[in-house]
Amino acid sequence: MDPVAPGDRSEAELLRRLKAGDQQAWAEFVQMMTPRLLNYLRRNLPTMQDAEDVLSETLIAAVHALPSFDGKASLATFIFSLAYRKIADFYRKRQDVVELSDQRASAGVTSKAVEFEEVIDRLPETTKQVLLLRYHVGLNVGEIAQVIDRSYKGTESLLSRARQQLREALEDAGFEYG
Amino acid sequence: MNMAEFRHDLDDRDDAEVRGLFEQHYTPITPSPDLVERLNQLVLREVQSVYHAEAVVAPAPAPRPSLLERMRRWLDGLGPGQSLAMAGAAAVAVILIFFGLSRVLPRPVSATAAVTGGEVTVLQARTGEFRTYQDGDFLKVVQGDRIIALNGMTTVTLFPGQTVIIEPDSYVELVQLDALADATQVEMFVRRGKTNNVIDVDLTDVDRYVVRSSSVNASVTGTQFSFETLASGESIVTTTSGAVTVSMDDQEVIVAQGEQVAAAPGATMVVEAASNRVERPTLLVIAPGSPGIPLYASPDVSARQIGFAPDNRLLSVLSEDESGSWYQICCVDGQAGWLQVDAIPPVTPEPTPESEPTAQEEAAVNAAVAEAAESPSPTEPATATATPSPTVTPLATATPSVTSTPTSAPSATSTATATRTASPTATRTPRPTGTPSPAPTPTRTPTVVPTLLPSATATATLTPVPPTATDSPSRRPRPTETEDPDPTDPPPTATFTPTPSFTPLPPTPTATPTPMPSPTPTLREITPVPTEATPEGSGSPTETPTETPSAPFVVPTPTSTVTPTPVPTDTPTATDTPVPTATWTPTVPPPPTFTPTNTTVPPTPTDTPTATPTDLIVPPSPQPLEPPAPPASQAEQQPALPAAPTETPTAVPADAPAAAPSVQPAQPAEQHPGQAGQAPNDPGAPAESCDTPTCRAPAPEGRSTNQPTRLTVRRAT
Repeated sequence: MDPVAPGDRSEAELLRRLKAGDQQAWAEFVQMMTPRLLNYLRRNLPTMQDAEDVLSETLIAAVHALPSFDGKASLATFIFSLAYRKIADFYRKRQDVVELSDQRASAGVTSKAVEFEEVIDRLPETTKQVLLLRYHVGLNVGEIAQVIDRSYKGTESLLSRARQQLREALEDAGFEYG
Repeated sequence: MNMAEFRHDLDDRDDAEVRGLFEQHYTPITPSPDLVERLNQLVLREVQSVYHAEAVVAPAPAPRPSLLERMRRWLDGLGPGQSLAMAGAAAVAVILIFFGLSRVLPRPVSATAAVTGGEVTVLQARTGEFRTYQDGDFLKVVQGDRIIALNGMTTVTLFPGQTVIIEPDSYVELVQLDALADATQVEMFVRRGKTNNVIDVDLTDVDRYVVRSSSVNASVTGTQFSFETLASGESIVTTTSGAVTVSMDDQEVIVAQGEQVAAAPGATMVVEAASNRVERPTLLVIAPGSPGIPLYASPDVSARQIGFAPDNRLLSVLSEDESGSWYQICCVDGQAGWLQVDAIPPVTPEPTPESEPTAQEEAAVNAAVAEAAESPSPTEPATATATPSPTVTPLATATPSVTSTPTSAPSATSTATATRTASPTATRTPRPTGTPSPAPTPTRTPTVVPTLLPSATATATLTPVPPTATDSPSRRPRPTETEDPDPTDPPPTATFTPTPSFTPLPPTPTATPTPMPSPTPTLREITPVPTEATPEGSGSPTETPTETPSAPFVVPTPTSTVTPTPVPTDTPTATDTPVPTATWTPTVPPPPTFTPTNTTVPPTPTDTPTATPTDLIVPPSPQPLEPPAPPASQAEQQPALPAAPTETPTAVPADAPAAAPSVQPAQPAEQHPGQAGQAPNDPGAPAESCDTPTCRAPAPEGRSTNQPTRLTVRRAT
């Protein structure tokens, strides 16, 4: 019998309350996921407004999808899987994607950060998503695998290649690091 | 390290290196509060629609709500029906709590009082103000109020079935008046006067009804009784029905129906039939300038001396010893004590000009009466004056008994009693007479003579003085002379001298003989001197000394002696003449040596008739004041009333003689006031009317029934 960690136990309890329609639980869930979702969406969408819109769509999707969630995966995996799909939906609906660079300039970040983001943006979409989910959102390999709907090994290899590609891209861009 | 491990190691280092790059260049974005709130509401609405749950606005993790808040929420959660039921239950609970507390906590109540027959003043405890109510007025009294009934009667309905009637001239404080649950709590402090308590309900163990004075508590369990506090500090509780528990210090007695108890500090409470006290006399001490009449702890001259009954003190006679020669009186310095009857000198009636004497005497009497607080009404003064007269008269007669007795000498003091009455007339007279004046004095004498005073003061002073002899004589002489004839003898009159002033007079020698045998110890001391002089029996000597002291007062006697005097004496007396004579007569009785009393008696009557009648009669205010006076007193007074000189004389003489004889022989006991009072109807028995010619005179005020008769003991001045 596998011991259940405290975090798992609290997440299981939270999941039970969410499925019961406990509004208090839902409020806690929104409070807990909003920052990580917003950061992830903001790195994947052209504007903050887009990120907030997709964020709300993601949460609403979660309300509807949770009753059918079996709980085998973590709540983070569940919500980021929805966000991952919402981002895809967003780009599918909008062919006229604006230049990210323009938007980043308005974000007011440092030139180094902008340069770093430009390098990330130029990476293949899957590589980029894997890196963001792993190093920006903080998911583990298994969770990433479920979000992108890949196998663990495949995701692990994908992640390894993504790191290599990022190093090369940075070197090509003359980005100094390390 | 194999290839796999090496590769893992590289991956870990790459992982850490890339994580560092992201942390360095990817600044985390913090969502604004507004965004979180909007998302919250959006989600909650969605949840409500999906899960059919009630919407909750901003259920953010908030601190645990307070008890009040939770209760409010709980109440909010109640349905209309539940809220209504809850409100009703709360109201009922509040009512029950209030009712319960009201039953447990004592609640002050007010009582309704009705004023009848006069004026009543109430000192309200709440405001500290005095308010006066007239006849027919109704008022509310509460705990702490003080009711001062002047000449009106106050009927206070304390509780249903519990009523107290506060008689005129009473001062009562409602110490407690409240109700605890079903128990009624009443406590009254009778500072002065009388209250009649009517309790028509059965009081339970938790009920309390207590009437008390400064020294006595009377608690009731359902009855009807009266509680009276006399000026002397004595309290009388009379039970009309039921029973009353009376306690004082560590004594406690139960006064049943028809019984009463007189309680005085230091005295043993004895329950007796309510009628027994009816005639109990009251003594007014008139002994100016002397320490007063000595009081003992028990009826024995060798007993501890408690103190002296000072001048102008009103004393109640509580009881008397078996021999009748001691009275237990109340009170001196808050203590009851025993007074030797013999210490009360016989009264020497002194006819005196009415006018002058009256003034002074009146003042004295008034003062005494006021103190006694017998008559509340302003009438008092008048009454007083009058009273004395009438009283005297009768008393005079009686007086003899007391006075006469042994005390003779000391009696002088006693005589005082008589004084009251007689005083008016007699005393004055003497003065005019001058030396001889003694005569006049006599009139008053009764009063003066008694002069217990002599005993005290005189004794001391005189003793040393050789002249004493002289003094003594004075008196005695009279007796002697007196004896011979009836009261009529003028000489006696002289004796009367009441006027102490005379003392110096030579008569002394005469007096000595008189031997008036006063048993008084004091006298004995002095005796030596007198003894010599005294021709009479052995006994006399002793007494004589005693008298000596008195001498000062008696002095007049000498005069008598000297006088063939009758004339002079009379002269002064002239007016009263008859009186003196009479008076004297009694004095004369001294022959019986011992029984000066008796002797005295006769005189008294005489005096009475003589002087008193005329003048005194008028005053007899007592009668009006005390209409209820027992027949006895009335009888006695009547003589006086006759005022008519003619009648008086007649009557007097008659009585006097009769009295004298009978009294003298009579045993002291019989002559005591108490008894005398009981047989007041005998006009012919002077002894009855006043054992102590001098001292006791049935109080004119005469409490109709329960009040003691007042007697006056006066010392010649």
